[in-house]
Amino acid sequence: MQHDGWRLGYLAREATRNVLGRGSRLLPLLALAILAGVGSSSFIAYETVRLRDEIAQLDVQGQYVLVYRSTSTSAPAQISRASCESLAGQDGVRHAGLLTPVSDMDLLPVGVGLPAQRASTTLVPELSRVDVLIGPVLAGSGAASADRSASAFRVKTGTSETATAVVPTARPEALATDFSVTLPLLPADVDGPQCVVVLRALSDPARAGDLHGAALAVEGNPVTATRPFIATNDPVDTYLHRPGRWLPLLLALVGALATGIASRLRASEMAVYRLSGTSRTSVLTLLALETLLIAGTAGLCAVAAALALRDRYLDPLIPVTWGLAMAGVWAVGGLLATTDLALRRPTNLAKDR
Amino acid sequence: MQLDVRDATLTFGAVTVFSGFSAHFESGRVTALVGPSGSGKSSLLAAMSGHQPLASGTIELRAAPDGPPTAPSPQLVAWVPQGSNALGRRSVLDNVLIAALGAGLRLRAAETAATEALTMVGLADRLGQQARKLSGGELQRVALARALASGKELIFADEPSANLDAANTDRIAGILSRLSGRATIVVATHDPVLVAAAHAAVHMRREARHAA
Repeated sequence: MQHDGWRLGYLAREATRNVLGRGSRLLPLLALAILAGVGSSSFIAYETVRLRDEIAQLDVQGQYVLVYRSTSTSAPAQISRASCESLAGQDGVRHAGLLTPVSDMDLLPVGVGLPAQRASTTLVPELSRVDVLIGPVLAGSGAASADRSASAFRVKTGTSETATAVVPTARPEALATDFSVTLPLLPADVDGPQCVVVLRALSDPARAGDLHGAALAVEGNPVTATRPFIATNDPVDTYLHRPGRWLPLLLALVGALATGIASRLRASEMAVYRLSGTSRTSVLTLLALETLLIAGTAGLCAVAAALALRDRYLDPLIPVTWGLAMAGVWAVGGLLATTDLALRRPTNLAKDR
Repeated sequence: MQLDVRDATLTFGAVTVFSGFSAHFESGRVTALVGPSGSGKSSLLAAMSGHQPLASGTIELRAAPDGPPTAPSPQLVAWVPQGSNALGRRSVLDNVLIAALGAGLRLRAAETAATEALTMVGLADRLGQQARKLSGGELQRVALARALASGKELIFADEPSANLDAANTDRIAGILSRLSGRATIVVATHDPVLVAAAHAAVHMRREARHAA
């Protein structure tokens, strides 16, 4: 191993000046590192937002809804209200409760002969603060449409009683809240023919079906879980196996290649170091520090962008990990691509332009 | 530092660059290494600086005439390359500073050494300028300043006047003359101006290029 008088601190100073100095040939590489770092975390955020949108769409379509009802349409089962509502406190369950169709009702100024149903407040929480929910489809054609996005408003039932109403936000279609009038259950409603469970997004409905079914108290026919909507594709599986997840590593390889090319363009500069007595070890250290500075910038930018966009990820550690992996691959690849500059004869390097 | 080359033979594969070559380079003097193109002047400099191993023969360096010999090493030599190699985007001072820092000086001392060296080659007014904005002759002087700032006792210059006009060649010759006594300087050259400026000349001849 060759030795010279270079101190590590001075080599670091040299590396910083070579990378960040005015008119440095490595500035484009630094710009690439910033773009790669920010781009990596932004791309992961974009893909995660897309996944969330798909999941939200599936949620509205009913992908995460389980309906427990009798196995026989001719002999309905009676499911205990208490057992059904208690599922709302279970792990992985967003809402759960009985949902019972009732006869059509008149509601002014919304309309007459409107389809109606009663639901547990544990299934439709808005029913704990208002008397009636008016489906957006129904509200859209009447005077109440003006208050769609507003808070509770007054309506009149067919018997001239007034009630507070609200137009709910989008719910899974299986709950039928969009095109029905939904009322709370009566105290006398201690059981019902169907129990609806709304699972948290990303839950596995197939696994949850048997688990929660076993907790229901049922009289009459046994019940089974049915799924009103089953997606033909699994967005989570698609997300986990997407080719785009390799983008940070691809960017790292491009960065390493660019580092190698940029260093080759500086071969005659490396010759200057070697011919003025700088050892191979010091030149290698200098190249390593330059590469670390550039790759580290990519990693830092990825982390900074991940922090700025942290609300968009399933877990902010995901882009941070990918960002650091990108920096590591860039640094190692870049150094491997430039090592020979330290090993070649300086008189040959001096001839490279 | 004096240099002795004895029975040196250098080959690149089947090609013999020189064989049985011997020479003595006096300490603190400027010696011109003269010979036609292809005679192996640059290769001899590379061998004397430890960049290129010999096929046979010896090269010995001595700090004093009766001192113990040491083997050539790149760390003992400051090299002034053919052409205008420089850290083009860095300042003239930085270009010389690296040699002083590489010699183990602390930053302040290195800056002083680099400034003195640049003053000696007549570039004291260009310290902050980017090296790429200098002319070929000025870059050659920067290379000489770098060799000076390194504080090394051996300076090898490979065709330092190549591609320079007469005025710049005279200037380089003047600088080399002024450097005598500070270091042992070997200048590979065709240039009669530089040969005349040297204290001694060693002649190399072109070998038959292919071994039997």
